[in-house]
Amino acid sequence: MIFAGVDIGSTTSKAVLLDENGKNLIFALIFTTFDRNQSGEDVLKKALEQSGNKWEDVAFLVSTGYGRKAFERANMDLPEIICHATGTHHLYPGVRTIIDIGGQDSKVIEMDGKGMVTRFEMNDKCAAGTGRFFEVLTNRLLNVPMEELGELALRSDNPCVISSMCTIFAESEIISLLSQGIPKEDIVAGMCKSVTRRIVNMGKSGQITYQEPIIFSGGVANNEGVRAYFEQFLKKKVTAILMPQSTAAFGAALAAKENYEKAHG
Amino acid sequence: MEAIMKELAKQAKARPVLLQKAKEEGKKVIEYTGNFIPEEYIRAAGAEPFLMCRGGDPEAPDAVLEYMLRFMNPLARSMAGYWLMGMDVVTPITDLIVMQQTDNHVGRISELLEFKGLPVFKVGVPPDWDKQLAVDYYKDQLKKFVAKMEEVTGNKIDEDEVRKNFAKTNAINERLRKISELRKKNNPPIGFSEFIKLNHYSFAVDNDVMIGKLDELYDELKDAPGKFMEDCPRILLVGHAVAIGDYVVPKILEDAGAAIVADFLDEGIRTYNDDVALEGNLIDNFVDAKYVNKVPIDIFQPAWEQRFEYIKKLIEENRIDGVVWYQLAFDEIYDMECSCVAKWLKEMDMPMLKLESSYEYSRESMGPLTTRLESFVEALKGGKKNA
Repeated sequence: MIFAGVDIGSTTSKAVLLDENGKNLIFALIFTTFDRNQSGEDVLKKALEQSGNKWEDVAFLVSTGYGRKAFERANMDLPEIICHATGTHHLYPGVRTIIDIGGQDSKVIEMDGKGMVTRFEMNDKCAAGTGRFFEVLTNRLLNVPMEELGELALRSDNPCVISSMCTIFAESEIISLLSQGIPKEDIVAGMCKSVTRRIVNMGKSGQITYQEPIIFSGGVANNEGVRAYFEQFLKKKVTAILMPQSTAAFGAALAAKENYEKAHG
Repeated sequence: MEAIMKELAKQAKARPVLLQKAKEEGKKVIEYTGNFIPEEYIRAAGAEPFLMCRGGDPEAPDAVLEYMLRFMNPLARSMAGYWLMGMDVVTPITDLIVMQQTDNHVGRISELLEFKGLPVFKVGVPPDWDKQLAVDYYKDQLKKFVAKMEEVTGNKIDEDEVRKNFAKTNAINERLRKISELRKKNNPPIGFSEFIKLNHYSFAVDNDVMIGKLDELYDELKDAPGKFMEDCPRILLVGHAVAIGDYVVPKILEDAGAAIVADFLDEGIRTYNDDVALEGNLIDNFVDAKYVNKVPIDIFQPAWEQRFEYIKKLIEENRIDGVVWYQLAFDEIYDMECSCVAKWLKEMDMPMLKLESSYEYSRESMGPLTTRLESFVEALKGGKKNA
């Protein structure tokens, strides 16, 4: 008997399987396609194949993420903010603030230290301040692989000032900076700084005080430059979570286990 | 409840046809934009009133962009938008549009309608409601409005007829209050989705019919079982307006398992807590009830502390677990007030979710909106479980 959490995000779909003891069996990740139900099916199939389990071994399945309601096989769905909180609290008991930057949105979640969400802020209307900001600008303009961005940013001594308000304006600024011969590391550092500033201010506008411990999750948490700028802006320690893209799926799997046990005594 | 709601919805939907018929019979049709215009005078003048407060569709606000900047709230833009799109069947037959001038958004839309050749009558509503000069000005504006009604209809308004109409409005208010009280139960038998629609229907359905239906509904609901899950999170909805047709946010909240048990909205709902006294000068009484003594609307200043005291009262009386602040895009004063309210609520340890609507409810926008609302409800459920 296993429990599954499937996070169907805007960019990637993730699945986490847990055994009866709540131990993490496997994590799988694929790119989300336009068919969100199929993305859920595919990523779960991949996880099952990796773990050597069968469909019928899944006792309870919770879906989360942008495409959670499209996944027909799920026993229940939960919003990703709740799953992020559940997953992160399990890995880092006592966490007070979660900064999550996903492909299409970013969130700052404040918690009570006991696993409960007390408030949150979300940017979901604009690519600025999300993983898409990096995706669009690095691929199109800088020709730097995403995984090298953080390291490049840390090499900069003189980060550029780049608009934090709009990806399109930022693109124009970057073209202008490139034409002036500004080193790529300064541009990338400027981008990291811009995203960080935007998210810090978003949280502050929602009365979030960034209490420690602060955990950084989502795909952008792989970018060490962004994490470092969060520390610089907040003057607090910010820890990037291990396997940052798995947190919501992990939280969903924990919720699957809890709900199954509730239903079966 | 379902049968009564269905019947009221049918009657409200038929209102434009009745207006058309009334028009053909020689009656005047008067549109008005909100709670600061006493529709009782329109009725007493022998005309048919119609509240212009439709919203919730993204196309209508966009329709005014040919004439206006987009930096106006979508409800104000919708006032002209539906008509410009040819989707408003009342405005083309209206004899006058009475527009309360509460903010610059409605002000600019009034001017757009005038520019497009529609008959507009503006009623100034000063924001400094606690000053005698403002009270006198508003009363003077209402007297001019009454004179305008007489001019447009050609009928002299009889004070007793106005009194009768205020008595009916008070009767509707009283019944809405009784139904609203049922929301204080641990598991309310009625949700906000129905309650706001009752308010909206009450603007369109014949007053006597509405009074009868509200009585029927109360009798049905007073001992009815709750319609929510036991111990569901209890929400206070605060904001500018829930327009006629803008039902997405309440529905998502209720579908997620929360009950909106109290509301504090400035428009799109009857001011059902504030009856107009029937003795003495009715304009004075109306101004006292709806302007001087009422909890001020957001745009009235300085009122934030007074408004927050009222929010605190609602939280206490209704055992609120969380507040949803629902404002419209480009509502800058609501935005500013929200910063203070968020800070004060945090000091009280009261969770709050801020939402801003541009009436953009496309499939792509619904995902993030649903995530926000469901997350908020789930967090409240978690908080209750651990309490």
